[in-house]
Amino acid sequence: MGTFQNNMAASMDTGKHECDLSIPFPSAREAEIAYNTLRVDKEPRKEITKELQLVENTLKVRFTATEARLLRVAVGSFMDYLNLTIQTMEHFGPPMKRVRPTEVQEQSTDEVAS
Amino acid sequence: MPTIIGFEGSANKIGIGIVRDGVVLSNPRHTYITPPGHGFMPRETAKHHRAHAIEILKKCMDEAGLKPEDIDCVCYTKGPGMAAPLISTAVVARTIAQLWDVPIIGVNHCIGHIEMGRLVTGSHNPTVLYVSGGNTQVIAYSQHRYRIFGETIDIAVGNCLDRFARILKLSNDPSPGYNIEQMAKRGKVFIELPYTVKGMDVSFSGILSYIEDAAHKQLKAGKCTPEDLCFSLQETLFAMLVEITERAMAHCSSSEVLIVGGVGCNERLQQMMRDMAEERGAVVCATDERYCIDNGAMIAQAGWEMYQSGQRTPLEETWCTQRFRTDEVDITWRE
Repeated sequence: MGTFQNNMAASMDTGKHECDLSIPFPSAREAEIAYNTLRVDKEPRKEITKELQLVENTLKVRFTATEARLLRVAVGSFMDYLNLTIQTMEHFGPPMKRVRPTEVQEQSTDEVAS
Repeated sequence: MPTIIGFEGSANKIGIGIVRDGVVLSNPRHTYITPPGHGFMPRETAKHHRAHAIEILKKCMDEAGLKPEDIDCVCYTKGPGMAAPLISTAVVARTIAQLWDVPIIGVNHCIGHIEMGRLVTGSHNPTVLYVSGGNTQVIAYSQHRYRIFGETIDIAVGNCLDRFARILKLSNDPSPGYNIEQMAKRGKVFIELPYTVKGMDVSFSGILSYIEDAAHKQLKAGKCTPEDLCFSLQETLFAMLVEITERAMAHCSSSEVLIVGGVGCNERLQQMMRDMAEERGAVVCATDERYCIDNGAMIAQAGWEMYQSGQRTPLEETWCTQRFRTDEVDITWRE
């Protein structure tokens, strides 16, 4: 798995600290899996925000926080979960695609086509 | 014949289990054990779960002799529990569900215990005593809900026992509750402690404070031994649990008691419950430590019931919650 790019900067205008991550994956499907896995949990504190975005095979994450300390904790925690997700994909991948007759009828019409 | 894999990691145990049509195919587990005098904290516990998740998942699939395509559904503990350990386990479950292209279901931890207890003991419609480090509830099923008839109004009974073990600096291996149980067997003197049943509810925080004070004073004065205190604490706490369970049985005209949760392993509690049940002409159902203690198979079993009755959790809703009341779940798989 490739390395990823960090951009950390203190924005004097908004009084917030920001951190942008850009994480490339071998395929768009794997990036999508990581995106779906990691976007679900909300940040426990209101002072921290986290936005995930999927661009082809790259997962982009933007963190903002009112304090550098909070930002560091949030990014560190995310890295732990990201690492676990990647390990899971390495050991139990590659992604499967299967069609089961009973499941087709139960699939939600809102399901995003992959 | 659906085959379900369950992921559990709400406290200091991480377990992954596979259930197929009422049979547990595998159920490996690993416990995070802290030094004597210390409890487990969320961050370190989550780190432990992350470190062991992959290895346990491999072991689970190997022991069951299954391949990914054999699995029909992934289930995980949605809550209640500690946030970071819950999320660490859920991250693996979400990833696996997508890799193997199967549905995912979020399971309530308490209902996992109940459904595994019902499966293993064959009890049909018992009054349930759910006792662990994080929960103390008396539950009875009615109209598609597991109703909470009585519960602790502060700390769980297992929490009380675990904290007392910390005071005495008992080992946390294999569990503080087990070590208290062994000490209690050698206790000879009963020390009177507060008895705080409140109708159908119970309170344990006062007892913990009282016995903490007693531990410091009386042990120093040599008036009693640590074994006596363990014995006395068990007798008091368990008598309270038996009383509220009996009250619920009387209200519901129940003839079965099911004890689930980690404290349900305790043989003294089982004995006291059995004594009460015999006098009422009822039976006690209890499981051993394979299923009393948090495990992945119990999540798989509850998940199996949910799956068969048509429940699914959309991927966007697979978050975890530290508070997830037992009676919030619609029990679609029972009449």
